[in-house]
Parts: sequence; C-alpha cells; structure tokens
Amino acid sequence: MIQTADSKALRRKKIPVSQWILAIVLFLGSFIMIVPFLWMLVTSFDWGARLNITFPPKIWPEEPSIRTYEVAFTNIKMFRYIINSIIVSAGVIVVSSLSALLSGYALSKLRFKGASLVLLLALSTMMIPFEMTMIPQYLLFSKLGLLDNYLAFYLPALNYAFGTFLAKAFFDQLPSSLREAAILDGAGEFTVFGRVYLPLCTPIIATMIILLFLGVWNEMLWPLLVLKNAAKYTIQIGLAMFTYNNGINQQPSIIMAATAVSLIPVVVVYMFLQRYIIESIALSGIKQ
Amino acid sequence: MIVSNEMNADKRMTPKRKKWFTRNDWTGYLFSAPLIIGVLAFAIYPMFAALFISFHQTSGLSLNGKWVGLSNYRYALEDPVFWQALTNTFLMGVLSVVLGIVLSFVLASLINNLKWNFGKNFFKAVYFLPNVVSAVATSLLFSFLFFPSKEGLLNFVLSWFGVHHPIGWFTNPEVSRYSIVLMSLWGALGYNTIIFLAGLQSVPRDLYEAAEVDGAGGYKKWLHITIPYLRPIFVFMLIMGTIGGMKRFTDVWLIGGTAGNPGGSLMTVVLYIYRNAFLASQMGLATAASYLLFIIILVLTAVMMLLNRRKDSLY
Amino acid sequence: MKKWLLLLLSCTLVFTLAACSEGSGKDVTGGVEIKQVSDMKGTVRVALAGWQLDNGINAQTGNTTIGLTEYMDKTFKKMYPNIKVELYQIPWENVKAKQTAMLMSGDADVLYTGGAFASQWYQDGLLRDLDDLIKEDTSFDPGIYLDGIMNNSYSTKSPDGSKQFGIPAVLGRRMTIYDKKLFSDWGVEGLTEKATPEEILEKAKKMTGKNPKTGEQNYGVYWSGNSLNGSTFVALTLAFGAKGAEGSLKDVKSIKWHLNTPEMVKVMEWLKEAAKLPPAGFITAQGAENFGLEKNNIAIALDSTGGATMNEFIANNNKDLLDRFEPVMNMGPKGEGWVAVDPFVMAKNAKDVKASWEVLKFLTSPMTQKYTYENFAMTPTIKQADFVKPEDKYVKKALDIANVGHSELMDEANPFYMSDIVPAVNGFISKAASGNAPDIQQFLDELQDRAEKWSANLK
Repeated sequence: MIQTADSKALRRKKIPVSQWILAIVLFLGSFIMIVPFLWMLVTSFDWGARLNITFPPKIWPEEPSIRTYEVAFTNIKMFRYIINSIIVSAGVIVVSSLSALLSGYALSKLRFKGASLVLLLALSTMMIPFEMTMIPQYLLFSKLGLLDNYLAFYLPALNYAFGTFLAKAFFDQLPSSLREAAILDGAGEFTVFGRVYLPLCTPIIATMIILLFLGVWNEMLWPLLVLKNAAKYTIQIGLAMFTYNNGINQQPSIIMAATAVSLIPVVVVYMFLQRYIIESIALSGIKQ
Repeated sequence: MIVSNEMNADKRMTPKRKKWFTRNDWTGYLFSAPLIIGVLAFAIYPMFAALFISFHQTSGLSLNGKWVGLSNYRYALEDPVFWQALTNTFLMGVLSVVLGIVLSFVLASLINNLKWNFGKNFFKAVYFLPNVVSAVATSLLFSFLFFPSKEGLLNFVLSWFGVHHPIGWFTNPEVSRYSIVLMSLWGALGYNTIIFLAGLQSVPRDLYEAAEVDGAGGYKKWLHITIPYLRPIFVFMLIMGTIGGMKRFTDVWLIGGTAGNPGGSLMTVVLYIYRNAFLASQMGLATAASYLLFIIILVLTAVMMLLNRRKDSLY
Repeated sequence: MKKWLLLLLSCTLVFTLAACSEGSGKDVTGGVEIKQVSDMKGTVRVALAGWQLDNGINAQTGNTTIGLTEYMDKTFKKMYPNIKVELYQIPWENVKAKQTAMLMSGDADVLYTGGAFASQWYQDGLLRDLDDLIKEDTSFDPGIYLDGIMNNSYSTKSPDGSKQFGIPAVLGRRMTIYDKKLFSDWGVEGLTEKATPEEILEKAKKMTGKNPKTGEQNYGVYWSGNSLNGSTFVALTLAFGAKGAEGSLKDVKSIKWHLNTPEMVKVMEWLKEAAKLPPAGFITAQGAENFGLEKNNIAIALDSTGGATMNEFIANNNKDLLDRFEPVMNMGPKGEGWVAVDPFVMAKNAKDVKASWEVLKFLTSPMTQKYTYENFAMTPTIKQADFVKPEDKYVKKALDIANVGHSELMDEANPFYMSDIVPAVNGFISKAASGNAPDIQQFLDELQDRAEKWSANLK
C-alpha cells in the first residue's frame, strides 16, 4: 500500500513537459474556436454597434445595453419563430423516429419476404441528394396546396432511411428470443414491439432524437422553399430573411443579438447532453 | 380410405405453398409501411419526376411544359455559369475536405495523446461546439468577423502581425472562396475530430506493442500503424465530405446572394439550381442541372470506392 | 449551472413579454375619427411583400414603428367590422415564386408586390381588371394618383394601355445625394441638378483619399454592388443611351439583344473606373452605414433614399444634417433613373370581389399612404401628398424623378435581366473593384452570346 502511494505521488509530480505543451496548444486552439462566440456576445450587448461594428474591437461593449435584444425581439418575431422551430422539430422527430424504429424492428426481427429488398431500397436512396428531389417535392406540395403547411415537413420525414439502418443494427443486437417467448405467450406483434422491445430502445431513441433535432433545427433550404408566410417561419429562415431584407451587414448588434438567441436552445441542449451528442455522432460515423 | 390417408400424408409433407404471403409478412410490411411510403413518395417519385421535368421546357407558371429532350442538359453544359459553379463548388469542397481531414486528424491525435481525462472531455466539447451552430448563424457571424475593412476582427488581428492592408475576405473574388473554406472549417473541425477520436481509441493495443518491440518510436507508430489502420475512416470522410461539399448552399447564399457575389466566385451548383428554379422559373433547366449534380456525386463516390479497393488488393 | 439557466430563461421571457405587449398607443389616423362605413361581409386574404405587420423599433432612432396589423385594427376594422382581413407578410427574397404560388393555388385575394411581377402576372392572366370596380365606385377617384404612374406604367396598366389592373401604392425612391460638407472640405463644386455619370465620376475621383480638413479617409462615390435589381446599372444605361435590348416584354422570346454596343461599353467603362472609389464593402452593400448621418465619409451616394437623414431630422430635429445632404436627379438625360412602382393588385379568382376592392382601395388611400410615409418612410404615389413634411426634399425629388421616368428593357421585369445580366454586372463590378476588371468588349460579347442562347432556348 505504501509503495503504491509513493509511486502515485511520484507519478503525480512527473507530468512530462510534452503534456504541458500539448495542453497549452490545445487551449490556444480552443480559445480561437471560442472567439467568434465571444465577439458575438460582446457585440450583441453593444448599443453603439447597432449601425456599424465598433472599432477597435473591445472585450467589453462600448455602450452596454440590453436594448439591442429588445429591438431584436421586436423587429424579428424571435419568440414565434422559436416556437415554430420547436413545433417542426418535434413533429419531424416523432415521425422519423417512429418510421425508423418500426421498420428497423421489422427488418431485424420479423423475417418477412422481400425484407432485404426493402433494406436495399432504403439504403440506396440515401445516395439521392435532397438538392435533386427538392424541386419535384416542392412542385408536389405546391400542387397539393401544402406549401406553408408544416405537413410539408412531417410527410417527407417518413423517409428516414439512415434511422432505419441505425435501428436495425441496434435491434440486431437484441435477442430474438424475447419475441419468440412473447408470441408463445399469445402477444400480438404490436404488443411485442411496444411492450417488449421499445423500452429497451432508449439509447437508440436518444441518439435519433439528438441527430434529428440538430438537423431540423438548423435546416434552412427546405424551409426557404416551402414557407411563404412570415408567421410560419422557423428560426433559421426568420433570421435569414430579416438580414436579407435589411441588407446582410447592417445592424450588427441587433443581428448578433438575434443570432445569439437562436443559438440558445441548441447550446442549452448541447451543454446538458454534450457527452451523449458526441457519442451519438461518433456512433453514427463509425457505423457507416 | 387408404387413398385419403395417403393424400393426407402427402399434404403433411408438401410445404404450404398456398399461403405464399404469411401473416408475418403482412406485419413486416405494415411495420415498414411508413418507411416504404416515405421512400416511394419522397425519394423514388421525385427522382423520376425530376428526370421527367428535366426533359421539358417550363417557364413561369405552367408546371407542364413542352418536351425538349436533352436541350436543358445541353444548355447547362454549355453555360459558363454552370461551369463556374461547378469549379467553385469543387474547389471549396476539395479544400474543405482535405484541410478538414488533415487538421482534425492532427487535432484528434493531439487530444488522444493527452493523458488528462478532464482536459480530453473539455477539449472534445469545446472543439465540437461550433458544429451545432447552424449555417445561418455561422454565416451571419463570420460576415462581421470577416468584415472587409480594418474594422473586421480578423483584419484587426492580422494587423498585429504586420498585415496592414485589410483583406476583403468576402468581397474580393480571389479570396472569397478561401474565406468560405475557413468559415466551414470552424464548424466542421469538431465533427471529424470526434469520429477520428473514436477511431483512434479503437486501434488495438497489441499492434502498438508489437511495433514498440521492434523499436518504433511515437512518430513511426503514428505513421505506420495508426494511419493505415484508420484508412476506412479516412475514406469515409473523404466520400462524405466531398458529397457534402457538392451540396453547398446555405453559407454561400447568405454571404453572396443569388448572384454568387463577389464576381460569381461563390456561385455553387445548388445555388445555380435554386436560381434557375425559383428566380427564373425554369424548372426544366434546374432539374437538369440537379441531375447533373447527382451524376457527378455518383461518379465521385464510385471513383473513391474504386480507389479504395484497388489499394486493398495491393496489400 | 441551473441557476444561470433559470436566469437566462427568465430574461428571455421578460423580453418576449415586452415585445408582445399590446399596442403602441400612437395615433395612426392623423386625428381623423374613424366611423363605420358599411357592414359588408367577406373574407379577404392580403399577401404583402416586405411590409411590416407587427410593431417594431427603428434601430437608428429607437422610435417605435406601428405595424400594419395594429393600423388595420384601428382603421379598417372599424370602418368595415364585418370584413375579415387576413394579412400575410412575404419577404422580398424569392417573393415572386411565393406570391405566384399563392395566386395559382387561390390563396390570396389582394397582393402588394413589385411592379415587374405584377405586369407578368397580368400577362399570364392571373389578375383581375379593376376598371369595372373603379367605374361603379363613386367614392374612388383615380385622379388622385400621379398620372405617369397610374396611367403609363407597366406595373398598373395593361401593355396596350386599355385596362387598369393595379393601383400604385409605393414609389421607389432612388436619387443621387451628395454631402455638401465633404464637397466643401475638398473644395469641389456641388453637383448640378441633373448630374451626369461623367460629372459624378470626375468629382468623385477628386474626393477619394485623405480628407484635407479632417484627415479621415473619404470615398468619392458609393452604390450597392450586390443590388438585386441593378438599379445603378439601369440608370447608367439610360444616361449613356445603351438600350440593351429591343422588343417588348409581351413577347420575351422575340426580344433582340443589344448588349455589346459601344454605348454599353461606355457603361461598363464607367463602372470599371468608378468601382475603385467606394469603400471595399460596397460589393456586399456594406460601408455606407453612416451615409446621411454625422460621421459620413462618402461624398456621393447613387440610388440613395435620404431615409436615414430624414429619420434623424424627425427624431432629433437636426436641420444641419438636412442641409448637408442635398439630393439631385438621377443620372439619366432627363434626370431619370430606375423607378419602381409597386402596386396593389387583385387575383382573378378573388373570393369576395367587393370586399377585396374595399381593402385594396383602403390600402392605397391617402390615409394609408400617410401611415406608411410616417412609419416606414415609403414614398407616396398621390399628387397631393400634404402629409409629406415640407422639409422632405427627398420625397419631392423622388416624385420629380418619377415624373420623367419610363421603363426600358433593362429592367427587373425582364427575366434574363434578373437572372443573368444583373449577376454578370455585379460580378464585373466586384472584379473591377480589386483591379481585375475583365476585358470589357469580351465581357459584353459573352453576355450577348448568352442572351441569344437563352432566347433560342425559349422557343
């Protein structure tokens, strides 16, 4: 015991120089990564920067004020846009994850005819770029009169082939014996899925929720095409349109205030779930 | 009676061919229905519809135009703007991918070598943070950071290093594409780093130990074991990165507008598609261009996969 | 960590509550009492490009502006309590595609849009003629609107001039404004009333550099280098007589392009010379944030509105500033420039035609024009706009310019102009600004070539 304590003490003293240098280099790098956020925050609280950016750049706003946020909230309907984003995200998450879980389960546990074809079909369509399908999709929704309607988000969410792939891989790792036992007990397929397997799915569901949330929240291209009425805007498109109408580089502090607010939900989620998010990203990346 | 017994025996032995679609199959398709509907309606249908539309001349309002065969494709392929878009997209894409992979691999290796666990997690979190920022927010932020006069933060910092002439990051056509690459590196670095980190941690220890026995130092190990072992990850990132790069739209649209300013240097293929579809109402031309994009992406992927395989066979 | 989060959330809540607070308490009618006019029933859906529906805060002055919703509540709703008006705000980017979609799917009855789009919709048969409604309605006097705009504009009248489909509501304001103080600092004579491009260029060159009196960096001229409609380019084509094309928008396919004429070369040469003078940010419409205000460092601004100066004057009664920034006519030979006329139009399949007409009439009425002038500095289209402040010389100039305006084919109504010519010109400008202007004749020849191919592809 005494020996290990001694060796531990020795180890603690001897942090090699290379480790120090490594840490310092990484710190410098992370500071550079953070600087844009810092500038954003400082400028967003600077009433003096509402027409042009302050020069020289300061670490503390020249005219500190929260009026910039007041103006941002008044001129850009941030609150409404954020709510809209939440509504769209929630809907897409529900639709996509259900679609993926159900089909992933079926492909994994229910040996049905043509299952491999379905899987192949789904995977191969992942190659099709959205930028190609967006025009016919837009025309379709236009014809159906579903532009400016959130269904234009929820319906395409059915096609979450990547999620199906993830879900299938996850289900493959769960034993089939659970299902067989439940069926022998007389349970219907849906019951087996809902009562037996779904509760085990928390990790994969969480992963899907995170990936989907980040994707939908930050999306701009499809909302740009589909949403016409400013009242229906999601936060990204609302922000983009405001700057477009005003000239992109005017009113720095107002725009920075609005941008900062648009980042709050994502950053909050990130702060609480960051370990999990990073794991999910790594998982999804490695899987491919 | 004897005959019927035999018939019964036959029935028991022959497989149940009558019920070729079991209840299990129905359930399977029921469960998969949302996915199948989604794929059919929003991947298969649009793919064919786009092809169909691309053979027509539509202008303005009519969704049904007249058949013009390949003329839209010809127009796009002869259009210098399309080629400029392609060049720009390619340049920005390749640069982003290569720089992204190299830098993030180095970064991941550095973080991996750090013995300090709290630091490891801290750095992972910090470097990844810009990745969750939307393209809109990033573009708005950087349009100010890269302000073309001496007021811009980047120009200000550069002036400390003796660069006194302010650079027009987003206003000088020569520089603008590189500025976009820089901006997207900020956001994408963390993402690649995380994946590399996961990969680095999966390299089996005994490979390193065997190399150490042979007298290999840190750098040699890195070069001859780590990098080759992670080759699938490199390839994956190259493919995904290039494909993603070909689809560049949001950042260039916010910075340069639909004209791809300055000087068309920020015109990308998707911007070209968007402009023709929604500003000039030329759906036929736009879908033709989008098909060309699709083909390019397919070709790139195939080429990269082939390259990967050929190298394998050399081993 | 949780406490900090709570603080953040409560701050957000406070802001949004503050922003959502009811009403501004400001008077919108100019003291006129609003009484009920009729109990006509109906539902009217109005799609407005760019208007502000909700109350806002003017970032420059800090004053509140009243949104259209509150304005309509206090006026139209009282006049016609049984007409339900649904307002939709469509931003300018991509507005044509969006409003076109609304027209095609029958989702809009009354629209406010850019004149060029309106004229195209009319030609595609999507809009309803207004002549019968005008005749029947004795309370409506078409004579209150400026003649040229009401009767001679493609934005409001059919190409053959016989039918009225739009009522003009907002005039685009684009004039040349110069800073007297900077001119006097440099000892340069002020601009003449109809300053030509040559004059502007010559004087601007003299005023780019370090100001002899203040030592600050000055820029001779400014214009927006990424403008969607290329208004400065249009003004230059008018000035140099470069028509650019021949034909009519009625038959786009048969337009003959003249993009590589010697006159067009002169336009590009002017742009090449002038592009070296503005601050670098002009490529992305940056750099002129202080024009019209105290700290201004730009001598001449093209296609300017004078809005910032008037705002300052209204907010702080700054007469010096008003004197300092003097408007002159735009660059055309008669002082013309690009004049946008944005009208209100009615969909052909409008549901409640009578109710829609009342809404349309009201939104183009003098009362509404007063409201938009006071809140958003929009330029009115009526002859007797006595609500315009007497000091507002910018609106006066805009009306003068509108009087001599005429539309050419180098205009946003021309689809090829919008999709190809404007981006090409903007691209040329940004290259010229960094000293790498392409060869002009070659540039124009290529453009001409592209135009001809584009037309050929249409057939």
